[in-house]
Amino acid sequence: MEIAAVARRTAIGVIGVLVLSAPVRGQTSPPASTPGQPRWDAGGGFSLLSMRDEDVGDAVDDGNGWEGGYQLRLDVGRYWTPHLRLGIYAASGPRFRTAALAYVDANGRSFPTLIITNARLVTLAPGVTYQFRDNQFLHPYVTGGVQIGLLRMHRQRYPDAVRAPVPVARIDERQNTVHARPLAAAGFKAYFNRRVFVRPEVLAGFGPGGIRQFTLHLGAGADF
Amino acid sequence: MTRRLRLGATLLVLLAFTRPMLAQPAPTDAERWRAFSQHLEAGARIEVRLRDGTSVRGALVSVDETALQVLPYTRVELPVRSVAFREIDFIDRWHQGWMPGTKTLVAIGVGFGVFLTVAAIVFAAYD
Repeated sequence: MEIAAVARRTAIGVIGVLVLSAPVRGQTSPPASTPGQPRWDAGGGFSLLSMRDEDVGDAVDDGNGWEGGYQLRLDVGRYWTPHLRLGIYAASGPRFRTAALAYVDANGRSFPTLIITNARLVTLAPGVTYQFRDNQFLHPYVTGGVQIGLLRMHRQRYPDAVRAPVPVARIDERQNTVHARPLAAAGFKAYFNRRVFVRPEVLAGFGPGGIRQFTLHLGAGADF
Repeated sequence: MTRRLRLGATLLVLLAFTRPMLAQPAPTDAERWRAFSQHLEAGARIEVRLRDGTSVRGALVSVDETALQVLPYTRVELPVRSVAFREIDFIDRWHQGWMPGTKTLVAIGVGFGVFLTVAAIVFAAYD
């Protein structure tokens, strides 16, 4: 009996709430959600970056502590909510080519030899992005992630190029180095229409001693 | 005495005519906005500011007795939204300018141009 009374009161309450919350003619309808929100975005772009010498290893060491270069970058990401995006980018570059003198001793004299180093950095960076604002034509965002850098170095010395009275050993060494660093980025997506956007971004990679890499990026892409 | 009676009668007549006019209710804000909206053409780009502080930008679809219907101007298309006149604080026409993407590219281009100009001036000064 008591249970039936409680059930009846609950039913009346639920019906009352439903009736009161039903749309009334002339009432302002609330902003609708965005069911047609694109789930993916992809794009590419161009970056100017500055990085610490240590991250380039022996490839470049001109003593000023920082090296500049450019990168070409491809991005892809998926929106799990209208604000949260998981994404990854792959970037190629910068490339460095240096020539260093190394001396070979023969018959009590030193003969200069030339060692050429080619280095190329490839970066993969998965990250989580939080996008501000809802369904606008401009969305600021912040990103946190990991920057995985693969540095490929190739050192070469050609014996034929050395005029020494003794044979000089050929050098042909390849070395790959991988480093991972936390990254933080901030930027915004500014749209030209409902799908196509331009994406300026600043990005910093952190490591021992603070910022190890600083990047200015300008990309473009589309939602789909 | 006759003059006073005449004056009194005139005042009474005036009051009798003006009282109903004073008692006539002034049009409410909602009625004013409905009248305003009825003069807008369908498809007009408008910005509707609501009393709760929010606003809706979009294209006017239709106007009825109690509300106007707006197609919100958003990146992802939304259904037509009904806005009650009694909720409206202000309605204004809205002109769409450059898209944010265009503004961004122009700003970056101008910034880069200024940077190159300054760099050229600095280099020229050192030469």
